[in-house]
Amino acid sequence: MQRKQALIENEIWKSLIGISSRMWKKGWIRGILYIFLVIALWQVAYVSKRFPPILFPSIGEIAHSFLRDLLNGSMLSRIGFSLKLILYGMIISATIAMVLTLLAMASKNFKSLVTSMISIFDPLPGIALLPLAILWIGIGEEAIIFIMIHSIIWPMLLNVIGGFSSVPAIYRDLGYAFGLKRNRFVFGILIPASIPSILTGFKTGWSRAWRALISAEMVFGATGSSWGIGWDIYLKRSYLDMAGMFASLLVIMIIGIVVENLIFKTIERVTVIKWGMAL
Amino acid sequence: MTDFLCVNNLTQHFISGDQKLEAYSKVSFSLKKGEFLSITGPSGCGKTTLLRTIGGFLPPTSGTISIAGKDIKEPGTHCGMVFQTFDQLLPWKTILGNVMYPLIINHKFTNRVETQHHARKYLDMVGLDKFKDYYPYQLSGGMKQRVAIARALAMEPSLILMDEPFASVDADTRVMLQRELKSIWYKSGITVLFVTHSIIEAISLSTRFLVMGKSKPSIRLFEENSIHSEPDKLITPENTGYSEWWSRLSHLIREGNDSSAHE
Ligand SMILES: Nc1ncnc2c1ncn2[C@@H]1O[C@H](COP(=O)(O)OP(=O)(O)OP(=O)(O)O)[C@@H](O)[C@H]1O
Ligand SMILES: [Mg+2]
Repeated sequence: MQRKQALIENEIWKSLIGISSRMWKKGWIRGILYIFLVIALWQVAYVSKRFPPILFPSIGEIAHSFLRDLLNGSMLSRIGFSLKLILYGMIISATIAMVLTLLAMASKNFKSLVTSMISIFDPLPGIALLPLAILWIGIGEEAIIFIMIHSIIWPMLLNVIGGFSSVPAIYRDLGYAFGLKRNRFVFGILIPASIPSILTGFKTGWSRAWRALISAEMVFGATGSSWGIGWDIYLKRSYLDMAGMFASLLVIMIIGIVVENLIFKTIERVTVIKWGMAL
Repeated sequence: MTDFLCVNNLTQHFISGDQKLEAYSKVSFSLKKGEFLSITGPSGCGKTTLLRTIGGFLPPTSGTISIAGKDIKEPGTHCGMVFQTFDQLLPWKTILGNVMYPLIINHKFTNRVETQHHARKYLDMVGLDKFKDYYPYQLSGGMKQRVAIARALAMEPSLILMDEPFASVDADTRVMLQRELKSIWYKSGITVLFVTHSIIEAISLSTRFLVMGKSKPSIRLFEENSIHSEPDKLITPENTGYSEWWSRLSHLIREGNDSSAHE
């Protein structure tokens, strides 16, 4: 009887270990476990009172600020403001990049001009242009968009021109053989064949623009009645709203993760991964 | 009947650095509509280059090409082309999408349903209708090559240029495809230029042989296939004259490999 009991216990243990090792192998479950671990450590540090509570809020306070901002709509308006600026930057940059790339494909001289410009301006961090933008454009959304475009356009151009130039000769030959001319050739062959590089350009552009945006907002502050997530952090600092600050940092992290791991990954899944073209 | 394809004193040089490389030289021949010409010769004698020039992909160093009386200056839909490489399908389109694409661009049909129906007929002919929704990277090299053949044939051009199209398929499929090609050729009256390394393939398919060599001038032989057989069937060793052609062609190709022989 006792022996049987031991056997059953043994089986239960084995199955528990099996389930947990299988769950461990799933990346997202591991990710959630790590997050809980960080939260737990944080709370332990808070409870231990080693740090002044005014500088080190509890998890409860952070969660409370987060929910407060989320429910009263202020968080959405901050996010909307920041994302709007970055979206403008993306759209304008993509348009300019496309036009410059086509011109570069048409003329060797123009291509060498553009590639030299990329190597000159690409290393320049967007935020370093801020004083210049203020003097030239003034304090406002336009200046931030100027910085966004600078952050996005060079990596995007680099990748799009690189992609267009390295379209395999066989795809060009096919385009000619099918009788594709001018813009049908561009949209039918060159662009789809370069999508892996175009995506890389967008990803690099986004991550640079996102970082530059947060920094630029902190310098500019509010423009008019609305402001973005970067300035939000700055404001909360001046009110010493530590929990609110951490809540906003959390928002920045979440947006970064969502855009990079959900949006870009999804775009890749329905394009380059589906086509077996992933770089 | 006047000549359908005229190749006149064609020479192709490549300049790389200060070196001049002659891919082939002084190639002249002409074909009547509906002929099936196989082009053989040792590796590197310029078969692919010749086909690319005739297709209009490569401007000749000198000489002219005319198809149905018109000079060829650039590629286009005047001829179908099956390239030597595996990766001639557009990776961002499905198998069916690849076959349909040139039909759509050139408005071969008025609606999508007809286009699709036509494309599937040709996919079925190369035995790949089952794979119509796959993407090219999910197919083997030989399967991709068959899709490329279906795509070229579906356009129903009056001339098709094929560069070793069956080189990478297994023996059974190869014979199946040869039979299919010969019957399509016979039914449609299409003119075919067919590069192959297989003498058996050349004899069983073609109405005319072109053998090229490495030394110049490039043409070693341009003659009609004298073996009598049913026109829509493959020529086999049972047909009289087969072995004579076989030994003649293999001898010429072996000789053509020696680049000093003719100079
Ligand atoms: N784009 C090019 N630039 C320079 N040389 C070339 C180019 N294309 C081909 N050649 C040269 O031309 C010659 C003929 O090449 P081609 O590919 O036509 O040979 P082929 O008869 O098709 O050979 P294979 O049977 O191996 O396919 C070769 O010596 C090759 O090196
Ligand atoms: Mg070749």
